[in-house]
Amino acid sequence: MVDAPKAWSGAPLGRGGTRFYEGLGLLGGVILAVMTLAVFVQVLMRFMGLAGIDGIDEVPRYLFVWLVMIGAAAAMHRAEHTRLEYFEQRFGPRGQAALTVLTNGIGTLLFLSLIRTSFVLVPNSQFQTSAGLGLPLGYVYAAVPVGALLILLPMAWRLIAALRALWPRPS
Amino acid sequence: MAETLLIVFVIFVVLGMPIGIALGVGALAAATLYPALNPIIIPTRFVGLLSDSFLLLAAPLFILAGNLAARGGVARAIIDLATVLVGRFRGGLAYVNIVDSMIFGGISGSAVADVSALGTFLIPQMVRKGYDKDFATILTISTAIMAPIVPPSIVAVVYAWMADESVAAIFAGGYLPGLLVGIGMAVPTFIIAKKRNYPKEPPPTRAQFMTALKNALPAIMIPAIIMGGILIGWFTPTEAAAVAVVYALVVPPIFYRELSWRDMPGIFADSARLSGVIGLIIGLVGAFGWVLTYSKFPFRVAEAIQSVAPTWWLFLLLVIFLYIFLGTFLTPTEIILVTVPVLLPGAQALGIHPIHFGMVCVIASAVGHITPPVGLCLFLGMAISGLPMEKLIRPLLPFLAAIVVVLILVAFVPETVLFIPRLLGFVQ
Repeated sequence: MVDAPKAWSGAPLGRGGTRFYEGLGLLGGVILAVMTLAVFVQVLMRFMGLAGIDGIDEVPRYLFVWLVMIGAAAAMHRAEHTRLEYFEQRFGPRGQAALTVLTNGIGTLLFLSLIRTSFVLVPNSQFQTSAGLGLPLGYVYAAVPVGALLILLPMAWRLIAALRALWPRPS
Repeated sequence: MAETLLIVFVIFVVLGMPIGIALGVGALAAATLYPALNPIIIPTRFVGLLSDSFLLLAAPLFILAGNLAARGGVARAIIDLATVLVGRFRGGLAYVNIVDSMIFGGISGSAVADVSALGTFLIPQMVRKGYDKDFATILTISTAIMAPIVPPSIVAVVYAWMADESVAAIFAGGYLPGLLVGIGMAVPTFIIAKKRNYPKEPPPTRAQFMTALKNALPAIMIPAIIMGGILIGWFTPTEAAAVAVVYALVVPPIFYRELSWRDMPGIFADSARLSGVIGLIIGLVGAFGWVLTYSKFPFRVAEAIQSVAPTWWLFLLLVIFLYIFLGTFLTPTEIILVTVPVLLPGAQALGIHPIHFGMVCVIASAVGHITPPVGLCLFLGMAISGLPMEKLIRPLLPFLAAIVVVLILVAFVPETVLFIPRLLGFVQ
């Protein structure tokens, strides 16, 4: 039996949103490529007997935080985050819509909390610099609110779509 | 405090919230309800965990290397090599399937990549040659669990990072259990192939053997570079992963010509998204684990376990049951991330070596790949073969039993894991 398509399971935020989040996936790919290059260059320089570049080991470590947030946002748009669907599928369409409202609503609160706490964390960490590159750490911590906002948008879209399915507008 | 965290986490996982987000929601609930905690701990631990460890970078780089190899024509070369090695026996293609997974697992480190890359070739090929479709499908997905066991295993990297143990040691510890799982898979295969009179492949000529070996050489160099480089001390695991990415980008496309530059953006974006999914869980488990540790929960669990399971073997038996149960709805990485901080102190208190414990956890969590209702490999096998789940459950049982027997053997005979790391000087 094929389930009827659910209003909140389509591509969030329309065609523009799909293009934007596919672009984010590609941006994540570029970050991953730069991380690989930064690690590979260290190996290459060591094998060539050259002195390492100061702080180059910090490049992949700090980029990893950005990769995770950007990649997680792109995956959220495609609904690729692993989750247990077994119990949800036991419910009818209205029950599933209610569960989507609940899980996406609570999840939204988490990411809003991450954005709120970042208003304190990012400016404060801007006064700290990394040991090798002298990079203000605010640039690293900024990945959290930016990524949280990007993750939040498809979640909020699904939340609203599920709410509309629960309480359709009178035509 | 820890109870609030765990109850909230379990409720939202059951309700269908993504696992990583449920971890964060659990930590947020604890931080909101208990004034001693502050929600700022969540982003602080998140960034701290992800940016402090050079070792952790091995995970996204191995994901990328595996994806590049899986789509770069490596699978076909390995199938050809395995065919000349074991194809001549009764049910030859079934043994080819087992050997393939063992070699390919040493390249991709991922059971899902294994099923996608090998299953699409092998399942139709086996069906064409007269093998039952359900047998071909189940064998392909069961043998795929060798990928997270043999190095370079992404799950093993995550365990080593959590337990603060040597990646090289746990990688080396995966070889014998991987081989044992392969032998375990061969036992039901032998019985079924004989009973159903499955065909043999023609024995290869010397020239065919040499050609297959020569063609597979660029592919089998990937695990050789990774493990050789780490064991000799040329690279750290993260550096080995980066070298594997560069090798997989350059060498297989030249030899196999299956990967075009147009495929690259898609492969890099897929790898970035998967790294995001795993990384979000790792980052949010930071605050989750911090709350557990703050409330001394792992030590309470360790004490409780010692009273319930006072001997190391009983403890490992309980861990195996727990992991097989959790594997029915969580992925191996998620199981390791959520349970290791809680269970490792108990294991160490009972004198279990962390590398031995880690390998038992890795194998037991990998079983979840093939068990319903959310075995990722099971779903992939269903998609490739077009068979529904109910047709695959019965044929799965002998293979599942073989894996559990090997798992119990590995748990009760620590030397199956520790022998090679000890030989190489990683373990005293």
